[in-house]
Amino acid sequence: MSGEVGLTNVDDEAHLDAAMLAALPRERLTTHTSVTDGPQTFEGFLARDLLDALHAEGETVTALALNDYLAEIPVEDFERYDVLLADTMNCERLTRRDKGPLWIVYPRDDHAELQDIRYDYRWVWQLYRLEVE
Amino acid sequence: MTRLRAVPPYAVPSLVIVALTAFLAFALVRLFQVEQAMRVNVDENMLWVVTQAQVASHRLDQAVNRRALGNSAEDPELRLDILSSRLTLMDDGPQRRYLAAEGLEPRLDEALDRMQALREIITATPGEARFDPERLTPHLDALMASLNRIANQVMMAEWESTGSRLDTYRNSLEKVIAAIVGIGLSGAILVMLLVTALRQRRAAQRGLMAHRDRLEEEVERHIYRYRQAAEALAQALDRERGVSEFYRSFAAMVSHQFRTPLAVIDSGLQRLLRRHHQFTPEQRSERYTRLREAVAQMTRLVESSLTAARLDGKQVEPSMGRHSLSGIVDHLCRLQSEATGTRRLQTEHGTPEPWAWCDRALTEQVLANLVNNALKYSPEDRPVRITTAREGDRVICQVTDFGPGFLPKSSRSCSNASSAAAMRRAPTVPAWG
Repeated sequence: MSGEVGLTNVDDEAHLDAAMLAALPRERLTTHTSVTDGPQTFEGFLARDLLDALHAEGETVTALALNDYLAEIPVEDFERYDVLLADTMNCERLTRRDKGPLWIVYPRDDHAELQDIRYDYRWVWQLYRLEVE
Repeated sequence: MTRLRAVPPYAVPSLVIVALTAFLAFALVRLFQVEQAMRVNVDENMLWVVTQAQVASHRLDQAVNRRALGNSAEDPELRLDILSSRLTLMDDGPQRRYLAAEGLEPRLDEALDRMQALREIITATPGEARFDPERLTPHLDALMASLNRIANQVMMAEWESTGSRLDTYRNSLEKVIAAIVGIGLSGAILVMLLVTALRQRRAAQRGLMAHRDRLEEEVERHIYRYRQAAEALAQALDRERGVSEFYRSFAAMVSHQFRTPLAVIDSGLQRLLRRHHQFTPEQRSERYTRLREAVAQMTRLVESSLTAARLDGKQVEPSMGRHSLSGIVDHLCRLQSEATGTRRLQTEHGTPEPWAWCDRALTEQVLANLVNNALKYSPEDRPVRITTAREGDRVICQVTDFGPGFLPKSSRSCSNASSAAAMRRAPTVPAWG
């Protein structure tokens, strides 16, 4: 994680391994997605918990995927909704051959407005980097 | 023969309201359908998925070749994983159904097979030989060719789908527009019906007001008739009271006024009965003359009392006309002279001739009363003077005698015969008439 991050460990960035991420509070979320059939159960940690843990403060988070996909997400999304950074789907670990290592998942079944197409591009999978601005 | 039944007044507005509601419901349903259709975005998402898979396959191809050229920073395994991720996404439920619907399922299966072959080569081969382009490229080319065909087909399918969806939107919007026109027409009809109803209501109000006015006039006419009847009844009652007053007054006057002449007649007749042998013919003739005079006085009293009683009882209805006051006076004096033989009456008339608007008989009666009183209560050797004159728009008749006159408080009743007994001698007050 880079940008406006309070806690860093490599230069101005915070590099997190699986053990560090496992220390964050675990959350579970069951919701439909736009690319799968039926409800899916995800496990992981809340995006706002990660930002709080690293004392990250900003208005926008730029999420980058392994295929160089990039999406800008308002931090307000993480404050208003329980946005999950999932590492498990239906009790199976997400790998980079699928949507891993992390997949940004919105609780779209709990909020009708999240079913709008303008939220779908924020579901970044194969997430590996966040830049806080 | 079947009679046509009248259409209820609320039928047409009800039908219009039903039509309005139907148009509105239809428009809402159509708009809802369009809104739902616009939410379906799998087409656009599918094109993105396929192109990203294409990019991933080319990045894998690039990484394999660069690795073969000695660039160790390239990571073909990572690129293969990314490509696997894209193809796995295409293999998921919604994406696979879409591709199957477009007849691209064999192409997808071939791409997945090629990817599996690539993974087997990379995982089963040790060392740098696992990234040998000679072994990987045939599968990679076939995979890229399949993705290219899929992308091509998806692009055309999307254009067809977009065109079809636009047709659907257009068709729906045309129907919605037609429904809105129907709503407008229904609204216009409702407005017309409303205006018509308001006009009818106003006309009914005007009719009601006219009817009320007629009714008020009718009531007023009845009230006027009843008032006239009441007034007639009141007049009749007044006349009845007058008649009653007339008889009462007449009886009072007769009982009061007739005693004297009756006493004179009675005493005269008694004398004639007792002493008629002692009287000479001249004396008897004188007695008879006195008796006749008493009878004549009674006759005058009767006439006078009747008139006075009529006046008191309001039984006299004046018959107004234009009469010469000097003519009335002359006629009265002539009758008075013939009846009484008096030569005391003197008349004097001014010019121009005094015409008066009056009841001749009543005027004669009033003047006769005055003249009689003047003759009666003034010295016999003095004249009674009657003058008539005209002053502006009035006529004056003045009866002057030279008697002692009346007390002032008695003068107001002097014209009332019944008040004659109340007359008082007043030496200091000049006579008048």
